[in-house]
Amino acid sequence: MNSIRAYFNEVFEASVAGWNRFWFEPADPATLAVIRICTGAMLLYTHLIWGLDLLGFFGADGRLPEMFSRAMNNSEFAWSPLFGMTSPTLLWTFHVTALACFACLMIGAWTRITAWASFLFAVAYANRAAGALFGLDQINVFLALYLAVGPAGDAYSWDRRRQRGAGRCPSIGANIALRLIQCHMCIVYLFAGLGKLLGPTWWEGTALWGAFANLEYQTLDMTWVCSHPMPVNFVTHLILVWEISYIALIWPRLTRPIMLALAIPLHLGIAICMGMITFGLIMLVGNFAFVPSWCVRQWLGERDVAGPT
Amino acid sequence: MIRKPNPISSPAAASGWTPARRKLVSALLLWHLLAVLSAPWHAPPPASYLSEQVNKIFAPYQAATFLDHGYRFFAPDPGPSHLVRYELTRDDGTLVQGQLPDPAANRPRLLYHRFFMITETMYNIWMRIEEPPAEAQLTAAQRQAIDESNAATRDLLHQVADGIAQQIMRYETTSRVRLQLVEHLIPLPEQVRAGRPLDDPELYRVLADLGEFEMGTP
Repeated sequence: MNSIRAYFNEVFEASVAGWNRFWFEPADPATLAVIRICTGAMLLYTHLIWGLDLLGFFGADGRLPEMFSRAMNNSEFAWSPLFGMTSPTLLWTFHVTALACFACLMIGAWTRITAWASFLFAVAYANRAAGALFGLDQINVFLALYLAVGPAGDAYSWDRRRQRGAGRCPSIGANIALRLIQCHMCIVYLFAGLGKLLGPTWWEGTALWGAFANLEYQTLDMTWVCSHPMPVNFVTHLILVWEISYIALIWPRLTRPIMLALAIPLHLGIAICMGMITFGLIMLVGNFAFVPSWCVRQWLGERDVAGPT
Repeated sequence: MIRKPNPISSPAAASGWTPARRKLVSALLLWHLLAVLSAPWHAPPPASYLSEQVNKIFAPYQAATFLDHGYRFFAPDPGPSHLVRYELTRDDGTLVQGQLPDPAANRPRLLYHRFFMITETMYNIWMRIEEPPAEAQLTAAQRQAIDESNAATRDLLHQVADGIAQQIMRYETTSRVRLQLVEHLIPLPEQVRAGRPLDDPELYRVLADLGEFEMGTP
């Protein structure tokens, strides 16, 4: 009986210690800062595109009537100040403010404020534009949330330049933000992979053909693969195995570079062949949370950066 | 004698966060991660009764933070596309036929995807319209429930179709437009090998006539 109790005590203590190590050890904010720059740029671009036909999408007689968006959200908690905002002047003022906020996030200006504001703006647009959204918007919003949680302006930012002389400042906040992005990416890939297990074409190895031969997605004609079923089968199975195993193999030091290396052709393939450039890139930005900060600093030419320990 | 480290205080003690602060943040992290996990666990179907009940706890938080997603990208299978075809007569008498999304008109690509997602959403709504089984198999209450659900679904589809129609009419300077929901099937590899183009007219089939819409009358 004592040995059983001792075992569970040990499990508990090891779990708590592991939890604390995972979440509450300070981390260099360099990786988070790069994610901030890329996410800020993506948010800015995404919303600039809404601006090409702002009234056509969000106006009083737009393509997405308010009642329709509310019904699609199916929750009274899906808030947005854009609901009921029918005045074009007000809409444009809101939009320009949002764009300015995303630009500030990208360059790291008043980051503690602009990161939260960017998250709120991104949610406001997403809830109002229900029906016209896809994976890009989902990733945009959760990255914005985690950038708000952590000190995303602590490196490579205008804020940092204003505080000249301050050195690197590892923080628990930076670690928590990175860990949240990492965990969220694992959940995204796990369910993307598990969802595919319900589809016959992923088992038959022909799903890749379904993507390549879809004219509405196609930006690069890859239909020549119709004569090469074996490579199509192989890549289809590889994508499935990669997505399902991501949650396990992205953490160990030895397998992480392989998983990250595989993410690049997968998401660039989606970007180039299927015209989903923004989605492909934002998924790579999410994957960047697994790149150690010493790599970032070395790539950016900083001296005196210690390698892996 | 080797002293066991105190797991509550030691690993992160150097960080300067008090145990109470770590416990509070840990609780918030757990809540958030469970909410993130619960969303794709319960949707889209199939989903267990347990997952649906658990998700009810997190649903308000997920909705407020836009975290209620299934993440089933290209799942279960990459399927056919869905388009909206329109036909109208301009005020000068010219007949115009077009479709959404239109890669030539909807540029840049992200704008094209916005239109594409709207037409895919319309298809997903249309799919919810239930074909009732034979009269004898249904009670009056069941038939009424199906009818009410179908009426609400058709109304939702009509709202977005009208939104699209109003924008087309504004752009094309006309007061009347007819819309159709169209499916574009994917040919088999052997068909493409034999020379069938991806835009073979036989690969397109009309799923639903969405009706004729007039300017300003939803």
